Amino acid sequence: MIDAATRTKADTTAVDESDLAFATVSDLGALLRARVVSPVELTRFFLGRLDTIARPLNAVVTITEDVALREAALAEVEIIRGVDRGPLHGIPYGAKDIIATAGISTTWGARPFAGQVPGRDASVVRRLRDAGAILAAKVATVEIAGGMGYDNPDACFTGPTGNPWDPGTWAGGSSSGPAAVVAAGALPFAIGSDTSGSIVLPAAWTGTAGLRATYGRVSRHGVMTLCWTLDRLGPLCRTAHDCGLVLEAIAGPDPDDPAVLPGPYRYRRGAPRREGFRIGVVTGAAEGAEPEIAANFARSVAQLRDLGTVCEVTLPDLPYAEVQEIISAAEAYAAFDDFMARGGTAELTAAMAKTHRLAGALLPAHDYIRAQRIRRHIAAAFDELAREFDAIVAPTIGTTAGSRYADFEYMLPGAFPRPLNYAGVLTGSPTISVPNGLGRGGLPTSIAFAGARFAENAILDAASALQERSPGGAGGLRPPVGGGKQGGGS
Amino acid sequence: MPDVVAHYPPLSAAAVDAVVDATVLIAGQRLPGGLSADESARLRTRTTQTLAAAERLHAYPLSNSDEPAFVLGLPGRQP
Repeated sequence: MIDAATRTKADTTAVDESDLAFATVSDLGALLRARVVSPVELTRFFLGRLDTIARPLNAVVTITEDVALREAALAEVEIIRGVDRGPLHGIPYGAKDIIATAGISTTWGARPFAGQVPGRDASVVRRLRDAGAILAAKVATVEIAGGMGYDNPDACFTGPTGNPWDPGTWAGGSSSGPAAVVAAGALPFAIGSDTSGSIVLPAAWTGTAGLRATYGRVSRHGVMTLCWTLDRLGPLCRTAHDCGLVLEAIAGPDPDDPAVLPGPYRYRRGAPRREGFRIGVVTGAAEGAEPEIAANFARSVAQLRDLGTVCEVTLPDLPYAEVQEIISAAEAYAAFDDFMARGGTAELTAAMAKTHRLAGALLPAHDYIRAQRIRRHIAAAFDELAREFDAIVAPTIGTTAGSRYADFEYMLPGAFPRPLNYAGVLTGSPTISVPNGLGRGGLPTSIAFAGARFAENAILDAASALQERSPGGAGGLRPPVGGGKQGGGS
Repeated sequence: MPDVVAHYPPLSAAAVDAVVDATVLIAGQRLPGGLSADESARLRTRTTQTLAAAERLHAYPLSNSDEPAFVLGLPGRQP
């Protein structure tokens, strides 16, 4: 523990607990380096919030207290000795429970895998440890990351994850836990996964920032495979800027994942752009969305106009949904063939999951290959469009968070007015969702920034610049639970 | 390479039913206790949707059907 004598003379002011809970990674790093708070103090603080605030929301599967305190003690010694592992040094985080952690259960959110204890850490966990981050919890996921199908938030053996903005609403899926713990101020950041929207959509509903980086940026070794040509890992944080910091730590080559890009990723954190952006707005992007989402999106577009040039764009008319459906059907079936062959889906929580993937039992291989070839057309067309801009924007989702207990058919009509999400999913290009206000029932609304492949820095800069001008400001939104003091318009 | 459309004639209702019936049969054999009527109905709906998606892709013209679209990753490094 860093005692008072060891702290710097500069600042020993007590930090308000609410401010600490909702501080950004950058701010926490500054407090750690100034020795206003120590890694062990910070870790104990967030362990407490995980237990008292996140656990009742069903956002937590396992609190890794022993590991966390051990890693925090190490970080504390290193910081005292002047060792600096970078912006995540001494910062606690959570990992979606499909990410392997040595000696710690990794349940995939599913009862049939509840006793699974990996012998080895996933590469992303090793990278975060090398960066000095502290594993504090394995956090909730829809069972098998939603890959066996689900039509209700209750598709998880730990129960439906409540949204910190209103526990009667759902945090979204499948990265329910990562989104909920960050939104609740129970952890500064978490790692989620995304196959068809599972980072950006929970981020949107919980008022957090979620980054689905370029396909291949982050190694998936040690992570449950669902659809290997679609699966990606990425951070959920309070701000776009924090997402950049975390991505830099977790990206990079890994011989254990042949899909990983050979070069490193460098976040442009030194001099982020604040203006001169070229923004494409998807034509009719807000049609069919809730009125408050449309209004907040219009305000965001006006703010972006102040930051650069804005023009309307039309996404190429291509069969996004069909390609996604056929690729998912084939790859998820193949990934869980043994599980399905032994009747494992019967043990899942969602009624739909028992049979959903078996629908692909007789899908011909050539149909899968055709879908992949059409995907190359989609990627080429989208890339040609996206390269004209720093980002293409649309509301991340057309509804605010739905009921924690209702079936999706009652919750999601109008959710996806335009296929920007599927375009990002299929083309392997980066997308970030950041909050842009509050909507129906005081729930967060969000805007998605999609870019060309490898253009993370452009979309992070644009999203950061907008976030600074949005309700919640540069520090992000705070929900009205767990010490959050948010107000802040729509 | 000119655009190539897979000129399959659309599946007849009888052909769709045959694929759906066979899928339900396979599922029934794989799941302990077989399928309830409700589960069978869900699977029939889902299989029909998947077939429809594949059919729509058959109509999409491909210009890259002769390209080597995939790289086979094998373990080991070049010496």
